Amino acid sequence: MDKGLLDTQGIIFLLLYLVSLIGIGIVGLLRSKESSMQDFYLGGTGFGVTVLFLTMYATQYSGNSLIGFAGSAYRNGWFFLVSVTFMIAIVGGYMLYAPKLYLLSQKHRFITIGDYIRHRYDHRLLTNIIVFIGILALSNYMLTNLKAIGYILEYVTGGTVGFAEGIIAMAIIMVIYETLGGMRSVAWTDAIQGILLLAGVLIIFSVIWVQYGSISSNEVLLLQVKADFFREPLLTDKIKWLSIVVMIFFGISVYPQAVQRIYAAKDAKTLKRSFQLMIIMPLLTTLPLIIIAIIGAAHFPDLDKNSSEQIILLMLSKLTHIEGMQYVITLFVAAAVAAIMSTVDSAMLAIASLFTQDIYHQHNPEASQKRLTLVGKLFSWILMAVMVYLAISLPSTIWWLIQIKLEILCQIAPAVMLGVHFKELRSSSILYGLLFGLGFTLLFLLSPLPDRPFGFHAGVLGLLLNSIIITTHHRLKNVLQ
Amino acid sequence: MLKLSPLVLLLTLPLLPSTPYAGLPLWAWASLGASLFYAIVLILAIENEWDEERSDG
Repeated sequence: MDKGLLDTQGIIFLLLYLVSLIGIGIVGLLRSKESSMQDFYLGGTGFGVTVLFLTMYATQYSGNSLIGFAGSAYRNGWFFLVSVTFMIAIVGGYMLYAPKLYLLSQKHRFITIGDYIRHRYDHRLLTNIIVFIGILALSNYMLTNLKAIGYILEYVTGGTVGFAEGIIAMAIIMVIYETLGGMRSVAWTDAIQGILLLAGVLIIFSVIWVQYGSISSNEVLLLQVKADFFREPLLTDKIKWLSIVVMIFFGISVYPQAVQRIYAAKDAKTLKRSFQLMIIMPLLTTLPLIIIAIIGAAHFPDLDKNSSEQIILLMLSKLTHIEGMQYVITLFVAAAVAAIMSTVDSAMLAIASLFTQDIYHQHNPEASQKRLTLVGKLFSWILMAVMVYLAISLPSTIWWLIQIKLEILCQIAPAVMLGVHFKELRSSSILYGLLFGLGFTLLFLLSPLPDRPFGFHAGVLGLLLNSIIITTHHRLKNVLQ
Repeated sequence: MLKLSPLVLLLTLPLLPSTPYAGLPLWAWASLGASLFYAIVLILAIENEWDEERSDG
């Protein structure tokens, strides 16, 4: 068996951290005010700036941000600076609807994105399609992050904790604290995980900058071993850049768990400040990760795709002769585990609320708040069990699903964004736009046709078609009336 | 400003040449600068226009 990256002290620290999450779940349970959906899924809408900002931050920066972004930067070089742009742009996406949606949510006590769609359009099919897309995207998110946590734990413990064991253990911890305190527990654990993530990235960045040299001092080496990082951007690169930014601007900003955090703010000022802080975070998280990975590419230029995902761990493992480096490695592992857990728990909470509020409650309108909360908790356990089974049994080849989830999710953006601004917009216009946009996207993604027509993601062109259909249908209806 | 701010994202496109400068290609400096500019525009727009956004329409 290989020697793991974590020593005994590191493993004890990780275990203490995981046990503390259950403790937070218990505190969340004790602090709950009533057995209602509003209290369980939105934490009683009482989050201040610190908790709201940190839960938004930890939820948005998944395990993929820490591991996957570094790997992408290693392989794509400076082109991956696009991630700094799109992580800032997500907040721009929120700003197209959040101020008005927040006001509406306070007035009508929304819990899920489905509540808003139902209230705004009063159209069952449209609501069901949007809820289904939300659940699909979130399940995908859960699945891939669970797989990632299994790989990380297996790698850092040198196989002492197996892939399946790691997934099962983490899933049990998450589902326990989530069902104990709901959004309150999830947001509080997210706050700790957010601090760990930020501290981890900044400390590791400082260590690597000092030990491996700055970007400037690595320029000559980089030009020798990774000359392609300095090639002239082609037209295809520019189109790809634009397409990625558009897809993420409209896709991630309408994630159901993000919408729930908008509802959960204590007041408008809290939400406003949290968003302003979120704008700064790509410069403190994504940018340092890209710089670390590119310095890594200069020193370790020949890694394959899988090894490149572990570039940060590789760079740190070569520094173990330095006193205290074991603590930095432990911090990185804790930050990676935290980033993944905060994403999975938020996705799980959002799916459970979508199922309970938008499916179960609609079929059982007489169900009491207590019963609905209980159904939601039970559903969380079943959902987690299914996800764990799929994460362990499905092959990694299903990971292509991650790439298509945003292309599908961004099709619901017009329903959310246009809906809050244009009161006269009809549900039929939104429905036809959504169906055509989805149909177009799936046609290109699931058939032998190119999935990047003219260099754009199919989902981006689908969104364009979606918007054209909405505008045309809306105008035609107005003319005919 | 808030609704038009996404147009600033067009400035982040890699449009300049790749001449290295302090370790980064020139276009990368320009993209980072434009992203920073977009961040500042967004922060100011949220500060000044949030209340208008909530009340109009």
